[in-house]
Amino acid sequence: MEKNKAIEIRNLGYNYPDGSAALKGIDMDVYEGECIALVGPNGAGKSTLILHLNGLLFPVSGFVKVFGHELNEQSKKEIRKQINIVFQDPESQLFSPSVFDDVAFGPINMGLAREEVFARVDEALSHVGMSGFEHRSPHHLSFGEKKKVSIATVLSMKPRIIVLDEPTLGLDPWARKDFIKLLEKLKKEHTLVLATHDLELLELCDRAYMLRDGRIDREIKGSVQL
Amino acid sequence: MHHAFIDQFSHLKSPLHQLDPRAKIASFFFFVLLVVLTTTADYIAFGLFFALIFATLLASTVPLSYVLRHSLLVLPFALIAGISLLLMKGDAGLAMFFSVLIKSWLSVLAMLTLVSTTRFPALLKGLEWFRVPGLVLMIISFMYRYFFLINDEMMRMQAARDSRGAPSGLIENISNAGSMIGSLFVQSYERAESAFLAMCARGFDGEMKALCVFNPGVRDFIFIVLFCSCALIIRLFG
Repeated sequence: MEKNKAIEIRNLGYNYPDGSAALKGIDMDVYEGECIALVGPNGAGKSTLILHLNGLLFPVSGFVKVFGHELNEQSKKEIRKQINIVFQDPESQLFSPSVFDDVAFGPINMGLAREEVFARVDEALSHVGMSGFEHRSPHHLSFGEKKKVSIATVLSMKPRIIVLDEPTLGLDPWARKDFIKLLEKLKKEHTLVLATHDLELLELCDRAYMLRDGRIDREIKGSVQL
Repeated sequence: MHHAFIDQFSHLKSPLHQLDPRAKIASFFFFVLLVVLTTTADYIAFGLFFALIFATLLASTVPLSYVLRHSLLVLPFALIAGISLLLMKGDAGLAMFFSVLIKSWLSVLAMLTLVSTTRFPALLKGLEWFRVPGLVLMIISFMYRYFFLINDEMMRMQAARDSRGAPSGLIENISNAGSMIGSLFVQSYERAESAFLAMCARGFDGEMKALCVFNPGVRDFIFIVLFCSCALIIRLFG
């Protein structure tokens, strides 16, 4: 039996505000439970594509569907509960004065009850091994800790799909090893989309899409190696 | 490159630190109000206000030298505000000038005590409870989160400039500083855009919602009554 399509993208096109084409006719499928890599040179359009996955940008042509529902202004609020993004720079992902506030931000916006928000913050922080850091300021964390808390900010919303933009970029070898273990754990419970150049991380992925000049250059099946 | 926070002693465990932030906000703002309302040249009252705030500081275990050093930062502003009073005829101008200085200093000491004994997120939540507008709190919150990051970026740029043999002349440095400030502005703007995207991705709809966790107790009530009545007695009979 064929798996559910978690993400379906057809003929997606997007232009930058200056009119130049950023994405041209992207077709892509991600099935539930898969771990997919987006690879390609800098400026290929990976980050722009990622911003389309939960309605931070909308295409000028084509569509993005998440679990069969087309992403648009009306559906984005509900779809953001299903799919969420961990941005490349944790300084942007963590914008609150304390770790607790950052991890609680998503659940509060989802309108969850107070007790449920506390439970989700506890669970998300313990999942990434950061319990006890609730009252710390993000500014005082190490880069690796910031990356882990960034994941917790998304886990607390319990999405089915997690998109990570360059998740291991800037980590030292020890923190990176630790972080890859965390991603292996996440892979068991979520559909993952990773935009990365990290060869070791690519080994985690079931398939990859190679982007070049705003197009899908090719699809790489099986064990992914550049 | 890391910097000390304005609330760097707020993690201490003194009884004052453990009070409900609302109790401290109400008490210290009441203190400032009474200081402002004290008549000019009532030096006994000013002395007693100093004694009260220093006694509170001692109870908080926050180093006095830290608070005193930082409180002096207000003096240049108070001097500029009060300098015109010196032009008044007779002793009244001088007395008013000293009163402005003393009142400014006392107010800053009270605010520093508040900030040094309350974690910043708790302080924001306390202010939210007092119905301070959400937009103002959001601006303060982002300033607290990103000020040191921007400062770090500036220090990195300065290091890069100096390592390439920047000229030591004042004029050349002013032109360098201008381009650095421009670059910092662009970086801050981009940072704001990416933080905004991260907020939208997690369901931000223009309204900042936060969970307020307060555990008020008898000790908060005792603190408000004791502190405010001491200040009131000083104001009335000082």
